Amino acid sequence: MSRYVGVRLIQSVAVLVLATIVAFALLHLAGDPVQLMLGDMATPEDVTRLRRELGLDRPLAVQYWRWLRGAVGGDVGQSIRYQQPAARLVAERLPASLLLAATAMGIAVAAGVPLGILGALFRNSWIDHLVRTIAVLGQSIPFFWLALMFIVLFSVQLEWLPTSGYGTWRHLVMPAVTLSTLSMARIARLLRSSLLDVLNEDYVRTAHGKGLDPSRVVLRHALKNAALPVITVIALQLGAVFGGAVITETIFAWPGIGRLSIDAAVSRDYPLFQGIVVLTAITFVLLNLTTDLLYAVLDPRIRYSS
Amino acid sequence: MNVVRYVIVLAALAVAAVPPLASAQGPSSITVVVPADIRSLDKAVENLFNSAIVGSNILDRLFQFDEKMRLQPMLALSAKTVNDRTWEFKLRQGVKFQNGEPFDAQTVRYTVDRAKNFPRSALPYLVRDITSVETPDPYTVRMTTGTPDPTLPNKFAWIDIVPPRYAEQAGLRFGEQPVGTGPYRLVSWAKGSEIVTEANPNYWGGKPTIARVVYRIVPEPATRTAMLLNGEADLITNLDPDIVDRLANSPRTKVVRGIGLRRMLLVIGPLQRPLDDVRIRQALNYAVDRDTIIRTILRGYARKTNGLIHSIIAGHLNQLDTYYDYNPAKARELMAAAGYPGGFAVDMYTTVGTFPKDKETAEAIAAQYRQVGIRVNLITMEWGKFFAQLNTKQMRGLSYMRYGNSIGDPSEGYFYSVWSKGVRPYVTDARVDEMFEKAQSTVDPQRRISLFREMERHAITQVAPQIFLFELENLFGLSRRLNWTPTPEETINLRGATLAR
Repeated sequence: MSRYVGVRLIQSVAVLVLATIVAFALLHLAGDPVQLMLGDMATPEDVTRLRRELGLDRPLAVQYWRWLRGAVGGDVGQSIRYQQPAARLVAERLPASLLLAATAMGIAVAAGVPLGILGALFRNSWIDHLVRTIAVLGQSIPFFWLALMFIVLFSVQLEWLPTSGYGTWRHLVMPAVTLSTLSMARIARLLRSSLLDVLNEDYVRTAHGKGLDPSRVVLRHALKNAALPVITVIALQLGAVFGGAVITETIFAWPGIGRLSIDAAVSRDYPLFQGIVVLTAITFVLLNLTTDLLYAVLDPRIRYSS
Repeated sequence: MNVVRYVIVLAALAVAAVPPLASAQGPSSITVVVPADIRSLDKAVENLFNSAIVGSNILDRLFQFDEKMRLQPMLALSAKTVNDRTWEFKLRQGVKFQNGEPFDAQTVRYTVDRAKNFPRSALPYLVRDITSVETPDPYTVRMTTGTPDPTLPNKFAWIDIVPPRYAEQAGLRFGEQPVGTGPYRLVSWAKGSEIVTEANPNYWGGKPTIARVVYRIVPEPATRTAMLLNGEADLITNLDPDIVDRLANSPRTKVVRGIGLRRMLLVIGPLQRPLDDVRIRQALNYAVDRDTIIRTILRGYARKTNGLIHSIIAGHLNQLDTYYDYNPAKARELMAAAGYPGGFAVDMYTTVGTFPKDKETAEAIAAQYRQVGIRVNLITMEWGKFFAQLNTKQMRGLSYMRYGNSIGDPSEGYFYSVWSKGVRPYVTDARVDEMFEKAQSTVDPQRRISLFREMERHAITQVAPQIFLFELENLFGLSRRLNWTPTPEETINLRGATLAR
């Protein structure tokens, strides 16, 4: 088990380094923060001076190496645009993003799991069709469209909820629901099909044969086995929720990491963008690791084979 | 199915528990929406219009522009030239900063020093040439420049005046907790979300009637429009021409149109065949049907102009605004004369969504060019890349771009282009160089303007250094209760704004 964890950790570090190299190279290929900072009226001398002060006149490899050395020591760099440590800026925005992601995941699970169960229990009935329709819609409606429709309906027409912003639970409703749709649909679909597989197993038939209450058979016996793949998907969806937050946070003016990363990319703030990439990658890696370990806990076959 | 019933009841309760939306603003509070995040309200750190929307209401300047872009007094009462290289400003007396520090000549001197020497200052381009700041008495400032600078007072309509003691002690933090002499002072700032300011009761111009101004940062245009429609916002900027009718006809909102300083054009990149031939550049000017583009794509919210000087700034030649009116026959003729009777191929670059209808406009121009045989290869690019490539001479061909005018002076257009020592000297002209340098060292305003007029005529008719297009109007969406008049600058000056009862 510990060897397994060790191998996974080494893989994870490789993933992290690769992610930062890709982010670094892509942003550097596509422009220059100094031009954008100084604006239209800057003379070429101003630009050259600031580039030198920021160390941007060094070769790319040198810049990356300097950054990596700092990052290993825990310093992911200084934001060019904000002139503040990137880690501090990320920390400033992280709570808003976590709140949004956790709420969205909560909604996705709270709605997706019952929908999946209903779909499996009432297979091929109108309930199942409804569940499948919701799942297809949830997976195919783009976030930006749904978000704008929500705003038009609930903020402009009905005036129930504020269009955007951060502060109260009312501000949280629309972004969280928007962000939850994709994951909710995936969870419902997957749980439905894996439950259907399990419901045909012998032990389920036996449980029914014993005269157990049908809801008890499904919730206690079948669900436990059908839940395994769903847990993987939930973990992966947390990543997707972070990705979707870029759009959702922009439309709903939610001050989280998603918007910060757009700002960083648009203004070519390499260190800040790097910081976000590293922290997001760490989150992903940890999530995947946790899922794998959770698997082992939940499934004795995995636990004993390693 | 007890569970189902339970869920329904719960949902019903949740909906019932939602209290009706409290009116988003109090009776004397307004919400202004800012389109992009702000990192600092200190122009030495972040020299952008977006940040100035907030900062310009907290801090004052020596001068300000009125709605016709004429210079008016602010913290300075008058400006006069002592000699070719020295300006004298008389300052307003009895003004105090929001922290109690007095405003006087020393304050101005400190502000200039700081603009020059603040670490990584974004302002040196405005003050570099100032060689000395003298303070003969507490309310008189004399500034001497290395070369004559007729635009010096205009520059002080942009540089914010800061309190020396506090600014020195705050350093970089000044941008997060600015203190000025302006009508509003900072109350709180939730990063990435909103900035709250309240009226400065001791404002030298009289206490503002609107007690509180909240700036919300909302990047998505559709969300901003929704905020205005449902009463969450009182003022939004940068309206898309397509949304104007909707807002003008809604019972809660109105649209305010203002002259804008954004002049749209096609920048001609580093010269190559056949763009190095003036006849080809003239042909490119004649081949654009600007009236149709303005009427259809921009819905009339733009003004056709020629030349490098904005139409509200002295030096602009109104009589030449129709000089390059759509004339495809003449364009073909000029191309034939230049040896390209069958047309030629050219790259054209545009951003998507950086300027109102940028991609649509570029597409329309490309189609009109194809009509006369110019084969346009249209390339779309993200703003950051576009801007960097434009400035590093990588964009050969034509680029759909905006030139602004932040100091309200005719020199600015030539500073960007044509003048061989300017920012983008891709099409240059020896005669323009000579005339520009002469005008820039002429302090007498009348003589200077007539030099600019002469240069403008030459540039338009003989050089055609760019494809002249139009000036975009500034379009603002307001709640009906707010009375406010825009100035051409893209900042939002709230001095004088009132709320209807």
